[in-house]
Amino acid sequence: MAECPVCGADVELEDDAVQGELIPCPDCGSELELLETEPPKLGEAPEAEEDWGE
Amino acid sequence: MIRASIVGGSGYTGGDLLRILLFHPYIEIAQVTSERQAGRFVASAHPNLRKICKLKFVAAADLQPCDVLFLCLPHGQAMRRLSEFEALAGTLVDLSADFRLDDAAEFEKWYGHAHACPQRLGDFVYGLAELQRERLRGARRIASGGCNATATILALHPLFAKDLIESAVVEVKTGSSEAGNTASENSHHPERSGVVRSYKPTGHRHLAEIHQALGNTEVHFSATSIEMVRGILATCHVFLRRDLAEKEVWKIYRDAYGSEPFIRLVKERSGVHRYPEPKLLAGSNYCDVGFERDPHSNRLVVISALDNLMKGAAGQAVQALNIAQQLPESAGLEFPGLHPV
Repeated sequence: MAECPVCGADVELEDDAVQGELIPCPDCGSELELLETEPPKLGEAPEAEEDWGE
Repeated sequence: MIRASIVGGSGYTGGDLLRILLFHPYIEIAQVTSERQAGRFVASAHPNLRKICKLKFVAAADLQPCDVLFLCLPHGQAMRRLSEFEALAGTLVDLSADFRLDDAAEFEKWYGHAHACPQRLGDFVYGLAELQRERLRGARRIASGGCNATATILALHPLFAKDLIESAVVEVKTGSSEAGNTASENSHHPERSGVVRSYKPTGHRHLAEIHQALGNTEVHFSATSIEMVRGILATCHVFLRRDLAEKEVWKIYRDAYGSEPFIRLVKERSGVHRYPEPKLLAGSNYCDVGFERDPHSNRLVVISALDNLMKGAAGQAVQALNIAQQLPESAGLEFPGLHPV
């Protein structure tokens, strides 16, 4: 579990979530990036990097 | 099973009550009255209920005793006929404005005439579950809230409860079903179609219950009719006493409504449906609430949407009765609306 930096919601993380993974906030829909895993910390995903992998 | 009858069931609110109660797992409908349509099938007034409802309308004089009476009568009738209805059922749920206010002088001020039984005003519990859940438990007299008032109160209550509002200006956009199913010059198609009409810039009667429920008179209210059949969108311009970070606003609303079964916080950062929209709520008992903070002032815009016939009337009434009768609060009210519609 980690806190959404935009709305403060509890965001559930998968056990195998990795640093850099993009995760949408279930409450405000913000695109978040898992910045750190231990302890988990989320940041807003930079817009330019939202299309990673394409 | 709880046996319930509907008094004044040929209107739109009565139609939605029927639609809910016909599928309610703990309530069965005993009788439905209509003076104009007595003897005719209920489905003739509510064609969506064909093959589902075999009942015929009866005259109110033919009502039999039952457990619960829903009163869907024009304003003024419930208070004048209260003893007649109390003789028929132990529990009354009034969907008119007759018993919403606690104070007889306030009633006279807003409704322009004296109350017929002012000594009984205190016997009714305002039917808005989110504010009155504890008082509703076991209640036998329920006054269901007004539709515009419900949208406004649910939008603003969390902020007023924390004394964060200096003043608020509310603009609601409403659909045509709010005016009921009696035709008038206003509802004539060439006059109503395509309209964006300010019909009550000041002095709307629902303000009385808004002030009462919020415990504050610094709420100002205007209403506009628009091209829509069902639904209300309330845009509330809130002027805050102090600056609030967006995360703080989220926390206030999440604390107030996080466990409410029929309130959803809607504020998404992208996509088409970023804020509450009445269209998505047609037929459902949800009230969606969202907000946006103005970065250049102390204004917070809170937006709420609901279906005026559901959370604004019939759905709210059934939710309140569920609580009063200690039934599951969501019983009969699970329909999530349609998309697209």
